[in-house]
Amino acid sequence: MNAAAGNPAPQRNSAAHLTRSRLLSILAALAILLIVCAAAGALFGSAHISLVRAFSDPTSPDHAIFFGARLPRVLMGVIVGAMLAAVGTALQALVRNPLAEGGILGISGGGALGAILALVMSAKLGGGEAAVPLCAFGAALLSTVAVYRLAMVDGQLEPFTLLLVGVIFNAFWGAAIMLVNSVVNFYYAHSILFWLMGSLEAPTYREAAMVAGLGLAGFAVLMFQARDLNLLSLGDESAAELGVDVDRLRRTIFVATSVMIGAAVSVSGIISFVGLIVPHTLRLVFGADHRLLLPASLIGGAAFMVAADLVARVAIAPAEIPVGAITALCGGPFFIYMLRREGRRPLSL
Amino acid sequence: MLVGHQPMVAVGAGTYLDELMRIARADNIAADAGEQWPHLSMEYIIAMRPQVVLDGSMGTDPSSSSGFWEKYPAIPAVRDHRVFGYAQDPIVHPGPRVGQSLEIIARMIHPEAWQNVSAGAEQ
Amino acid sequence: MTTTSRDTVTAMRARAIHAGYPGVPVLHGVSIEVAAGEMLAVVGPNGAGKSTLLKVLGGSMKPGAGSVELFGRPLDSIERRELARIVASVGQENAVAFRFTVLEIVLMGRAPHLGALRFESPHDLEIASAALDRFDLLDLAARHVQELSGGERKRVFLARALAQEPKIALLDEPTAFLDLKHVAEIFARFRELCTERGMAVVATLHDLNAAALYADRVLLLADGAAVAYGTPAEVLTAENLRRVYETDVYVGRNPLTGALIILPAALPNARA
Repeated sequence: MNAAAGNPAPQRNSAAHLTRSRLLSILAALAILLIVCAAAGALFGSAHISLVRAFSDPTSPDHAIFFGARLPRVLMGVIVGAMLAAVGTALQALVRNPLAEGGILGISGGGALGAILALVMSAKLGGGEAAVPLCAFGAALLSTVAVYRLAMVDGQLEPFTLLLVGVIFNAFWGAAIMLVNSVVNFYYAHSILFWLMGSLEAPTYREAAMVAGLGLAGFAVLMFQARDLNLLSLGDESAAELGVDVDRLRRTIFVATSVMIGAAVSVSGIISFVGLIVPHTLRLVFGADHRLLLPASLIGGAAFMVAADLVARVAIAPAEIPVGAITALCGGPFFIYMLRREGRRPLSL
Repeated sequence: MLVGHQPMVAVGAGTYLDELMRIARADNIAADAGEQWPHLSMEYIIAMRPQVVLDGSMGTDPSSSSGFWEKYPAIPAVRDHRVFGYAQDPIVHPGPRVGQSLEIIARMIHPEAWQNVSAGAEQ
Repeated sequence: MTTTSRDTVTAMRARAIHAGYPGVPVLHGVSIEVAAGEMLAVVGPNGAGKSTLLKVLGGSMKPGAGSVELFGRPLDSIERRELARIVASVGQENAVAFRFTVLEIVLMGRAPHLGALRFESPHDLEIASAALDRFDLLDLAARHVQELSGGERKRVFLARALAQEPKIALLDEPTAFLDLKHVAEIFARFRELCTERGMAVVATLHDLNAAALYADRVLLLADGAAVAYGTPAEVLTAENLRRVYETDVYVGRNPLTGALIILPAALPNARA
């Protein structure tokens, strides 16, 4: 079959490149992991309920608790975790650097600040409770544009500059939030906590569905760029020489990711590090091909988030730990570990 | 009794507000949570079946309505329309107006006991 | 090495190229013509504009003036992906951001032939294998590119270019980082490709001897202008080289092979 001098084709070493069967089997394995995590999330919580009764007796308190509070929360974990991880993967491909993520780049922080400002000013401006998530969404998009603009040097997006700009933005948003916190009354100071700590409580299935819809739409856009994201790893010029419209790819990814992060932040506040831990771990195990990595991050992120939220709900029950704290506790040491690894082998670009 | 519903922070045992609640003869469902200001999940609140809910966000934020609670009709307080908002200031802060705070709380928890007593007559 | 006498199809023609960066003009009126199956070496001192010329020829840089035609068609009229099926470029830096395997990188060369969501077919794998084989990379197929040496990585990128099945290959310093054995092999492989497939190759080189040995024609570039253009013997004369490199050279014939050899003749005068 091979036209060259009698050497066998590269062994069917499944790690050498991505085949359809490998993609499906890995995604199936991850889906099973997700189902296990989701089941655990559904089974355990601060309230002891009987699932059997919840399903069989619609009037029982078990039913009310399970379908009214626990299930929406698990669903929210699945949706938000999936979105944050997929966005992390795409952003890392965009900047050719595994240290990029929605929280690190200051996008979540900007969204939170937008929400907080909307909250504080809503008393004067009116607009109702819906205005706050919308402002978070808009602020996240604006943050993305701002970070992007500032990080462009001569039309080139320098990855380390982008990271630096993101870090600075985060510091700035943090300072702004602290400023607001110090001048407003107790009520707003208390409410700000929601945005800073993150929460997966979802009052309605409709809300969850809206976020899921936005997430899926964004993800579909990302998937179509998957091969181009692979090519982008070779450098802007090489990718262009292979037929990629690099500018259009950048813009598309930015719009899709900012919509997804905006939607996530507007309902759940800042939850960092999911987009860092999940893609990096999956990349180490399964390789960097984005046709696999994107859907794998989607599923893996959902599983991770649900597991983290389970810990958040159960560790000091009946009291809760904010889920953002759990992810940050995992994320901090993980980030340091990654820095040390990458430091040893400089990311030559 | 909640400081607010977003985030859902409850009044726990050992706090000044918990003491006010005890004086007003109320069982604080968050008393066993092990912390003074525990974050509670909605499922726990539903499971504890409170008869009255006092929500600080509702009373302080003009745009916050009881719509948040109406999504959970399984809670007895919601079903019986006994979800009340209270103004966080002055109630949350211990100070010379403790007496007024106690009266406000007691009126919300046991309105039937106050039917013949006008405001400000608390000893 | 003379141009084959088959019907010479002009693969690439550049006319009067003026190009540069904002405020920095680099190329002044350079023209070349490369036939299918021909190898053109572009040589010259650092900063002469060799890489810039290659960028213009590949379409990643727009010239300020002048035109480039591929097989008679203006370069800027060719759509991006089709261009990638015709021209393959290998730059000087071969960085890869993530942990891709050698095979995955070479398969990326098939991208211009594939749609957005299609997987690589057995045919694509065959082409990739053949490319790996030609550059002696089959043993390294499953290794991660980031772990390879500079020379091995260069060969991976050359194999990727080959997997694109281009009609024209633009190579910027293809033999940098490579040891003696591999330098000879790379050129031998590309010469094979020129002959077998009629591929046109334009390569920038620092190595004048390699240019003399392997190229059909040579363009000597200095300060963005063409100093000489023709066969190696015509271009690589002591006179031309002294003018361009400002140093004396000896130009002779290799007693073993008869090929042109260029050696520095003397050290430059010591500074006062």
